[in-house]
Amino acid sequence: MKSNKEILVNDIWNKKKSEDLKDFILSHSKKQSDERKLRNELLSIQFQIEDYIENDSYSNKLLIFDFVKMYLKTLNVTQKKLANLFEMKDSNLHKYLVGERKLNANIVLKLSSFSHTTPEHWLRVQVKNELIEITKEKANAGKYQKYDYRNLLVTSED
Amino acid sequence: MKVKIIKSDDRKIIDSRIIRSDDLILPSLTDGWRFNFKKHSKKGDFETYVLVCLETPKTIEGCLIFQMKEAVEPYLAYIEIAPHNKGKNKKFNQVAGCLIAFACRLSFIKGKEHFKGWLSFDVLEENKQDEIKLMGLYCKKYGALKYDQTTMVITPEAGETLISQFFN
Repeated sequence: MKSNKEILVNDIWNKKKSEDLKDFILSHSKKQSDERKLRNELLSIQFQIEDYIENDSYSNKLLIFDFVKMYLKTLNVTQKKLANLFEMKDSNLHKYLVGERKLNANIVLKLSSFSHTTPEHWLRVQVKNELIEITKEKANAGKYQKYDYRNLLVTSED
Repeated sequence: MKVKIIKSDDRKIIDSRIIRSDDLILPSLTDGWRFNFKKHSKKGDFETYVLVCLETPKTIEGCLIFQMKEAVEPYLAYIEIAPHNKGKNKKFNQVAGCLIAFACRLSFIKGKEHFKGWLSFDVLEENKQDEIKLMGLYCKKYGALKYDQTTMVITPEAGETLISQFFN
C-alpha cells in the first residue's frame, strides 16, 4: 500500500504559539457568562457519571456520594444544605448517598432535579455498584450452592 | 462509549463503540493511513481511542489521539478516519463527527479550570489548498473557530452541540 509522508504536529508548535493559544482560550473563557462556566462544570460531572455507568470495568467502585460531592464542590454548598433542600435529615441523606440505604423513587427524582440529569443516571449508578458487589460475592459461590432448588426437592421427598 | 455510525450504501445505522486502543494493533502509514498511530500512541501523555463497529471489533473505522497539554489544556493531537471511510466509496458516514464529538466530551471531563470544554487541534495537509478547504469544513460542520494558519478551537458551546448531535 502507498506510504504517505507524515506531517507532525510538533513541526508547527513552539513555545510562543502555545502561549498565544493559551492566552486566546483564556481571554475567551473569561468572557463566558457565569451560567456557561457552571454548565461546563456540570456537564463534566454528568459525563463522568455516564462513563462510570457504561464502563465495563468493575475495579474502581464510585458511590453516589462521590458524584454528589463533585456537584457540592462545584456549587460550593454543603451536604447539610442539600439535605435541607431535599427536606430530609442530613444523616438520613448520607445513608442514601453512601449506599447504606437503597435509593427510592423519591430520592432519585430529587437527585435528578438537583443535578439536571435524568433519574436513570442515579439509578444506574446504584445498579452498577450492586453488580460490583455481586461480582465480588461470586468468589464465594460455594456458599450459595445449598440454595439450589434441587435441595428443596430432596427435602420435600424426605 | 456507545455511538452510531451510518452505512453509506443502505443508510443502515450501525452500533459502534469508541474505546481505548489497548488491545488493538493500531494503523500506520504502511496501512494507507496518513498518521502513524502505532508510533504516536506510545507517547506518555497521549491517549489513543478507536471507533469500531460492534460486529467487527478488530476493524478500526477511525482513530484519535487526545492530549492534555501541561495537564490542563485539552488538545486533539491526531484524528483520522480509515482509508475505506474516505472518498466517494466510503463505507461509513459520521465516523469523523463521532470522534470529534468524543474529543469535545473528553475536553469537558479532563480540561482544567478555564480550559474545561475547550478543544484545540491543528489541520495539517501537504497541499495548502486542501488545508484551507478542510478548515472551512471543520468550521461549517463542527463549529470550529480558526485561530491561526493551522490551529482551530472548538468552544464549549459548539462542543456541547456536537455531543448532543452525535451521541443523543
